[in-house]
Amino acid sequence: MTDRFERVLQFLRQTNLVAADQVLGCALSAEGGDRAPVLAEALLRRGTDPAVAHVVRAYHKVDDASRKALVGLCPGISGALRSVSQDENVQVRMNVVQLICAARHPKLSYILSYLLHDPIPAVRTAAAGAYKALALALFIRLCESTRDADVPGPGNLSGELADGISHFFSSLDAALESFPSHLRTEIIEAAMYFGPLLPEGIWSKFTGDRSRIGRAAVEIFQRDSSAHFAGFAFRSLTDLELGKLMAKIVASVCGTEFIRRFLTFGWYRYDLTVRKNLARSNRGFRWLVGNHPALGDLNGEAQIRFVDLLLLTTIPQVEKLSALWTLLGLADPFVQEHVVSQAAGMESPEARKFLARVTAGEADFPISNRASRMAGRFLARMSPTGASGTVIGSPAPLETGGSEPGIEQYFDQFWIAFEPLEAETFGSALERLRRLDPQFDGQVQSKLTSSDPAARARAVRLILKGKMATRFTHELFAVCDDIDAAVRASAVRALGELSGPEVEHKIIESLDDDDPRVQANAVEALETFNPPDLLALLEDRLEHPNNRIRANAIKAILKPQYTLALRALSSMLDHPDPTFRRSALWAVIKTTPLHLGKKINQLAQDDPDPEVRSAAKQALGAMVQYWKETRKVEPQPAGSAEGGP
Amino acid sequence: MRMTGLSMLAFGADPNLKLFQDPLGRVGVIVLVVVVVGMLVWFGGGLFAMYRRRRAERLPAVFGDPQDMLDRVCVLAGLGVSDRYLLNKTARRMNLPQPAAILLSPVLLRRAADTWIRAHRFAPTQNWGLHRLDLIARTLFGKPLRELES
Repeated sequence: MTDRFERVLQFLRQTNLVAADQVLGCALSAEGGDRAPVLAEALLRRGTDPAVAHVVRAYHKVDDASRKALVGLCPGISGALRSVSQDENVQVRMNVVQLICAARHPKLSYILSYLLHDPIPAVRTAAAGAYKALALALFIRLCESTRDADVPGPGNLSGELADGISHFFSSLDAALESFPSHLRTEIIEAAMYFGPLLPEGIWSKFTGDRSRIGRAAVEIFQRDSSAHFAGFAFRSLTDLELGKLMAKIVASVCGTEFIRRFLTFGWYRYDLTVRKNLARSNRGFRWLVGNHPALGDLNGEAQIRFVDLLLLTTIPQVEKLSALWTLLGLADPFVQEHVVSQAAGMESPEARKFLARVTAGEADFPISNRASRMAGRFLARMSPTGASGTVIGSPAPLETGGSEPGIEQYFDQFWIAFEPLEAETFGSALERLRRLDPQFDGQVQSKLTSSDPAARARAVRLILKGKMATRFTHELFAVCDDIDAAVRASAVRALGELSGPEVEHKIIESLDDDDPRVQANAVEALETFNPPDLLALLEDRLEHPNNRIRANAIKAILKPQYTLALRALSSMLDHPDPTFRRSALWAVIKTTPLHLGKKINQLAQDDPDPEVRSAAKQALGAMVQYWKETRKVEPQPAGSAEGGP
Repeated sequence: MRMTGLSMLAFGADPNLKLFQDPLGRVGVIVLVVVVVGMLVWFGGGLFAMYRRRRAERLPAVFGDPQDMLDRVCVLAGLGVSDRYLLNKTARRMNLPQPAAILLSPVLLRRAADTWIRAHRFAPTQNWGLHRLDLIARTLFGKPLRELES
């Protein structure tokens, strides 16, 4: 290359002229030799969307360094990738698939979901393969990040990972909506990796009546019972139809790794349908019962879950007790106590013998004193016929002394597992625990005054979920001034369930908190009080720079100030930032103002953000439902509505 | 009564067909010529418009001002007005949206030379164009045109 060429290239790198991108792009598309890297580098340095699009078009012939540079720019170049994915040239579309496959970034998955409908079969197949690879990479990241968590789930994820998974789920929703039948394995497998975490909207596609996706999932699981699908298998037990089929397969595929993963998602064990379906899966657990050393590989939490699940299956009691005896030898004292308490609920002569052996210390391994004492007490309470009135699988009746060691473990178990429980299951578990444990309120209070902010926040969430705010009014007032913002935010939200001028005053105080989460929750709580000066308090927040606060304020004034709120909501729906539009749609779903129907319909069709489109569709559904319900009420005799004096 | 061909046919006589043809006057001939020419022009115009539309559809999208870009790049590369003319002409024949791209790629320059040869096969301008392109190759890529990879 001569100096003049260098001068020209330097000019093209730095100029603002739009034509420069095309000049370099045309040259790059013609070049295939050693000049291509130089041109690609110049285009990447320009960094504009058209410039990057030209490099993506030539991805198949640029050098490794340029490819790495492109991968490094993901997902910031999603605009360029989106435009290139509609190129007429098949090779260019294949380049997009290859680049996304190399970058493995979940924010780009939506482009692959479009390419699943490409007119060329080779592109569709490549896109499906890339989609599955991306899902697997994301799943592995998820497993790594939740390895040490007590209860893996969306709540334990880091911000970036949670964001990535949320993007992936949006694209998955679109991909599962319609897909070519020969690609179903790849797409459905991609969804199955995330089985336990899938949002209800996507999960319902698997569990719908005669769902072809559900049937395909069963086929895939039968063909490839990888441990990656263990979470999906566990969640499928929550559905009657799907669970029935899956339980039979689970019974035949259980391996050590599979059962370890399976138990990781054992929080669903409180679900009634899961309990029913587990009763069908006896053979798999029998395999595990015959492989006792495998139990030692599980951690304490998983061993406790295993005990619970084991008791729900239809394995003969002798085999169950044999497995429990093995666990007594392997496990820590905490698990030993759980084993003893569950064995006490089995009501059989074999169970009595089991407890007698524990009490007599016949085991050739150490058993903790507390477990041994518990076994003695249970033995004393059990009648010789074994009729003690307990139910298999439920906690055995314990002496209701304040310092009873067995009860503490139930509180601890409940404390760990209460958050993902469904409302009905949570309610019954909470009721049972409060009946068993008179110190329940004291334990919650001690958590509220704990030095660990995570424990304080969890305690407030427990109060919220259990609708127990009236029993902890003073404590909630105290944590409203907590040093931790997350605790304050939850506490202010809980105040919304109380009433009285003091509470109202406290909530109004919280409107000026430094943290936007606290402010947003205060606005939401204030809505329930509906004070006369509500508009004056919230007027400034209708233009607030925080999307949650603004959406909550609009929602709060929508009833008393319909026109003003509608105007504010309409302008928020036009906001350039998609998070604002999503928040506005949340407010629409909550309030269903029918006057905005046309605008929401437009958003559902034309919005560039897939999540906004999905939220707009959801909002439209809610509005249609509301309209149908109110339409039934409307037709009334003319005189009856205005029949007053 | 004057017998027309039709009435003669009615009586079974063989008509003289020339009787059916009225002699065309000068005005009639002029009108006929104008109408025929008008129709030909209208038809030709339609064909031409269709050809232009199809050609425009085949042309790539153009971003920015290609002429301005070529001028700036030629000034930097030290190329003259005749080179710009040559590059413009060849780029149009090659369906290239940006003539300046030829100055960045030896492959495109070589392709431009081939296009020029094809377009000026028996014309005296062929050597002139090839000579200019060879000079451009030497100026920018430091090699004569024939040594550039095609």
